[in-house]
Amino acid sequence: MSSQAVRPSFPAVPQRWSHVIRALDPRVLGPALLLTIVGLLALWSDRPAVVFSQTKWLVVGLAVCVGTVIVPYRRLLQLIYPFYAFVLLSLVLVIAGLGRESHHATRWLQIGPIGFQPSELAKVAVIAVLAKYIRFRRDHKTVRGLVVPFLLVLVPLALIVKQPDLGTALMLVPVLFVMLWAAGAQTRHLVAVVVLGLASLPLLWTLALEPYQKGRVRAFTAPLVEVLHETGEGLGILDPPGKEAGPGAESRAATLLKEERARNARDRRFHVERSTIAVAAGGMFGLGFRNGVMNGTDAVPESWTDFVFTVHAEEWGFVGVVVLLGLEGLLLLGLALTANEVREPAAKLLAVGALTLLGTQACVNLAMTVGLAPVTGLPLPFLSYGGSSMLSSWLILGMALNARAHKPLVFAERAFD
Amino acid sequence: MYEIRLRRLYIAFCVILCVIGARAFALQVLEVGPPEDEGGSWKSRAGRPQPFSVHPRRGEIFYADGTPMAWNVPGYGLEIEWDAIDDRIVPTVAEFRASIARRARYEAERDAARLAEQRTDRARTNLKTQQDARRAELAAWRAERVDDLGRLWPVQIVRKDKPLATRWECTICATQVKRRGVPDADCRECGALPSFEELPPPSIRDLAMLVWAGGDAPIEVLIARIQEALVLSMRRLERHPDWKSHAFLVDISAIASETIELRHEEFGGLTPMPRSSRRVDPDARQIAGGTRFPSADDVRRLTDPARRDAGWHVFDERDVLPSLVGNSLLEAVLDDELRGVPGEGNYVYRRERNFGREAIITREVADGPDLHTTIRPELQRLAMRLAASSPTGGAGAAVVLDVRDGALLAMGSASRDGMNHARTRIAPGSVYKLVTAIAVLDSGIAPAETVDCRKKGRFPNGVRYTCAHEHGDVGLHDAFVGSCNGYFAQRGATVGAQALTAAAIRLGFDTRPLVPALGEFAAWEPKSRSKHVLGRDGKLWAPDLALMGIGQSTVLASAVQVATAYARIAADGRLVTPFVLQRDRPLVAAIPIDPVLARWAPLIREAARGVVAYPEGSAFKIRELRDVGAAGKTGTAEVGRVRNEFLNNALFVGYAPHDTPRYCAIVVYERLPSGRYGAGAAGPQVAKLLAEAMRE
Ligand SMILES: [Zn+2]
Ligand SMILES: [Zn+2]
Repeated sequence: MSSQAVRPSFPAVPQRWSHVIRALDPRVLGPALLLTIVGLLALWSDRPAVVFSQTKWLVVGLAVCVGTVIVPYRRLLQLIYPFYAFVLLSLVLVIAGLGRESHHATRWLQIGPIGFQPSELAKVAVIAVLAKYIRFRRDHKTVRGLVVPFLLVLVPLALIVKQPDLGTALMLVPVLFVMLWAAGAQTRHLVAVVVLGLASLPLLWTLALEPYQKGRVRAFTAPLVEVLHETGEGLGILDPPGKEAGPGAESRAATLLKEERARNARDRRFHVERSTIAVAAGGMFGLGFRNGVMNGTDAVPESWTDFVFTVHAEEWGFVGVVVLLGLEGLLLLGLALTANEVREPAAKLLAVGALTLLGTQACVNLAMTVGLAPVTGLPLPFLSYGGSSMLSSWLILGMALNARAHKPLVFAERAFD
Repeated sequence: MYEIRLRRLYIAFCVILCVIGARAFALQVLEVGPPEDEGGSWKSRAGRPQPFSVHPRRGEIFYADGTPMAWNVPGYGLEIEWDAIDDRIVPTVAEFRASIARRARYEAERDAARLAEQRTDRARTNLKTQQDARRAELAAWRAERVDDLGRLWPVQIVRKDKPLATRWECTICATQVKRRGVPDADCRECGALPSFEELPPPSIRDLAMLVWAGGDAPIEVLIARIQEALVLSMRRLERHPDWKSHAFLVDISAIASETIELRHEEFGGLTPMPRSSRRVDPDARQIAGGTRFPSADDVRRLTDPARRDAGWHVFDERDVLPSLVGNSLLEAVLDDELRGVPGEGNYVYRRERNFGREAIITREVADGPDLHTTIRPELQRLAMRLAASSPTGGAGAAVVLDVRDGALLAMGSASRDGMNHARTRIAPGSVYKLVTAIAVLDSGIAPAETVDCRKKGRFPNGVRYTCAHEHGDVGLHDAFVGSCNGYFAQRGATVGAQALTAAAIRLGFDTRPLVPALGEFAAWEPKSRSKHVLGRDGKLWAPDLALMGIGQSTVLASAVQVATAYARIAADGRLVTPFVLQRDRPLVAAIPIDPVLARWAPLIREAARGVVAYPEGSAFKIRELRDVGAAGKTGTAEVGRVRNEFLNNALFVGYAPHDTPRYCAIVVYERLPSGRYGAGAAGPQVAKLLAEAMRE
C-alpha cells in the first residue's frame, strides 16, 4: 500500500473559515500593513507614477498571503521537493541566458505571460525545504548532519550569486544558520563553519564575484585609502609597485584606465554619500510630506526601490525614522511571538525562517542606506517598489501565519530541546 | 533551549535596529548643528540643503530672416556680502585712486572717439558739452567715493590694531580656516597636526577676468567698477546696525560682454550673478517694445498664485528680481511666454572628505522660447526712414503688408510724441472713398450712374462740396480715378450710415484692434460731434454722411487699417488680417472670402490702376508708381488750420504689381501745409517701399 494511507490526511481547504480568520494575526499583519502604507507615502512623493502599480501589487500580495494561509502548511510541505527542484531549474535557466537583463544582472525569467524572479522564490523555497528536512531530525546536532542542510542552501545560493544577485544570495546564509541554530545545532559547530567560510573568502572573491560586486564591497571596506589610491591622489606608499616611472612614462592606456578606475570609485561612494545626505536633510522633524528636496530627482539613485528609506527619513525626519524602526520591531516581535506559540517543529522552523529573512533583509537594507553596510542591492520588505519583492514578502509572511493557523492534531514529542 | 535562542534572535534584531536608529540620530540631529560660521563644521551643512534657482534666458525676438530684433546682452550683477567678504579684497585708498584714474583715462579716450564720429560742428559742440558735464559729475562722485573709502575702510572692515585675516588651507584635507597669523591648532576636520598653507588673497582682477570675458572696455574699467561697487555698498549699508548681514546687488552688466555659464560662483564674499540686459533694434522698437527691471507691482503680479489657473508659472520673488519685465508691445504682450521658467535646485554638501558642495537640480530651467516675426529687416529700416522723412519734419508712418495672407512686413513711425503713428487714429481722407464705393456698389447703384460735379456746389438735398476739378457728370470709376469729392459726398449721403458701416466692417475698419499683439488702437469711429449729427430719427444727418463719404472729420482710421482694406481688395475679397508673429500665419486657402468684396474687387482694382496710370488719375504725376506697376489711391484730409494755411494729412496707399498684387503699402504724413504739399508727397515713398518689398 502506498505510504499515503498511513499518514494522517489533512483537508486541502479548512472546513471552518474561522481558522483562517483567526490565523490573520493582527500582531503580524498590522505592522506589515502600516509599513506598506509608509512605503506608499514615500513612493507617492518620490515617484507618483508607480504608486498605483505598487497598490496593485499590495492587493495581489495580500491575496497571496491569505491564499497561503488557507492551505495547511503540511499539505504544502508535502510538495516542497518538487517545488525546490522547480526553483533550482528556473535558476539554472536564468543563468543559461533565458532571463531578462537589468542593472548588469539577469534576474528575471519569463514563462508565458508570467515574469518572475526565481531568486525571490528561492528564498521561500529554501525556508520551506529546510523546515521540511530538519523537522524530525536530530543529526544536525553533529557536524555530519549539517552537510545536507548546507548543500540544500548552498546550491541555490551559488546559482543566485552567479546571476549575479549578491544581496539576495547573502540573505540565505543567515536563514540557514539561524534555522539550524534554532533547531538546536551546536553553536560551536556553526561558529566553526563561519570561521572556515571567512578563511575561504579570498578564494570566493577571485572565483565568484563580478568586478562590480568587488567594487562595491571594496568601496565600503576601504573608504579613504582606496579612493585616494584609485583617484591617483594617493600617498606614494599606497601606489602599486612599478608606478614610479614618473608621469611622462605613463602610457595613454594607463591614463585611461586610471580615469576609469577613478570614476568607478566615485560612483561606488556616490550611493552612500547621497543617501546619507538625504537622510541627514530630514533633521529632527523632517522637511514635510512631498517636500523633500532630494525626491523626484535622481539625486539619490534607486530612491524608489532599494533606497526608499531615504525618502521617508528626509520627509519625516528622525521622528519618522523612529516610527519606522518601531514598526519593524513590532513586525519582528509579531513573528517571534508566532514562532514561540506554535508547537510543531516544522511550524517553528517556518516562523523562525520568516523572522530571520524579513528581519535580516530590513536590517541590511536600512544599514546600507545610512552607510553602515555596503550597497548590496536589496529591497526593503513592504516598502520598496517592486512586485517580486512585495509578493515574496507577503508570501513569507503568509507561511509564518500558516504555521500558527493549522495546529497539529496530536503531537507527543517536544521538539528541539 | 528553542525559546531562549528565539529570544536572543529577537534581541539581536532589536539591537541592530537600535544601532541604525542611533546612526540616523547622529546624521539627522547631532551633525545638523550650528552653521559653519558659528563654530560648526562643514559637516553640519550636509544636513541643510540650500535652495537656489537658475534664471532662465529670456526668449529673443527675430526678424523674418532670422536677424535679431530684441536680444539679450549678457551681463552680471555683483552680490556683495560683507559678512563673508575677504578683507583683503577691499582696495586701499591708493589702489582705488589708481584704478579710478585708469577708468577716467579710458572714458576720456572713448568720449574723444565718439566726438570724432560726429559729422556736423553743431553735433560736435552738443556732444562735447554733454561729455564735459558728465565727466565733471563723475569726477566729483569719485572723489567722494575715495573719501568714503578713507573714512570707512579702517573703521568698518578691520579694527586698526589687528592685522588682516588670512585664509589657510589644510594640506591634508583642504579644509579652509580664516585666521590672523599661522594656525597652531590641529586641523579640526582631519585632526592632522598643524600643516597649513597660506591661500593667496582673492583678487578683484581674477573676479573681473571671470566676468569680463573680453568686452569692448579694458579689464581695468571693470575692476574699477567692481571697486566702486564695493565702496558704494559700504556707504549705503553703513547706516544699518546689522549692515554686514545685508546682501548688496550692484549692476555691472554694462561692461561684461559675452555669455558664460556662470551660475553662483562665489568669490570671497562677492558673487557675480547673471543679470542680462535687453537690446532692441532701434528700427523695430515700435514692434518689439521694451523691457524694464521689475517693480514692486511686477513682483506682486508674477508671484500671484492665481497665475497657476492661467497655466503660467508662479514665480518666487528671488526669481523675479533678476529678470526683466516686458514693458510694451510684443515684450509686454508675450512677457509670460518669453520669460521662461526658472530652474530649481538645492546645494548639498558632501559629508566625506570635504569635497565641497554639489547642486541637485529638482527642476530643469526652461529658457523662454524665441519668437519669430514677419517683419523684414531691410523693409523695416526703409519704412522707418520714410516715416521720418516728412517734408516738414512732422509725424509720419509707413506700413507694408503681404497681400496674400496679411503678414505685417514693415511698420515704421516717426513723431515727437513717441506714439506709433501707424497705429493711432487719423483722418484718412480720400483713401476712405473705397468704403463709400463698396457701399454704393453693395446698395445696388450701378457704377455707370452719374452725379453732376461742379467745382463748388450744392446738391438738391443741401449737401455742399468742393472738388479739385469740375468733373461734370461722373460715374463711380471716373470719380475714383479722379478722386471726385462731388460724387462721393453725394453718394455717401444717399446710401446712408448703415451701408457705409457695413462696407467699413467688410474692409476691416472695426472697433477691434487688428494686431492684438501690438496693442493697436481701435480705429474706425463715427464720432457724434454734436447733437445735430444725429437727426431727429436717430440717423446721421446728411451733411455728416457726405463728409463721411469722402473720409473727412467724422471718421478716423489707422494706417494699418487702411492698408488692410486695400490689401483685401488686392486679394480679391479675401479677408486678410494683419499679424506679426510667424506662428500666427494662416493657411491662405483657409482665409474666408467676402462675397461682396470679391464681386466688386476687379472693378475697384481697375479704378485703382487708373489713379496711377490714367492721365486724369490723381497720382498720374508720380512716375515712380507707374514704374513699379502699382495701383492705389491718394488721400488728403483736412485736419486743421494754422494762420491762413490749412493743414492736411497726405496719404498714399497702393499695392503692386497691379495685376497680381503681392504687397500693399501705405505712407502717411500728418499735418502738411496744404498750399505746398498735396497728396503727391506720400506717393513716391510708397513706390520705394513697394520696389524694396518686391526686391525679394
Ligand atoms: Zn585637515
Ligand atoms: Zn469732382
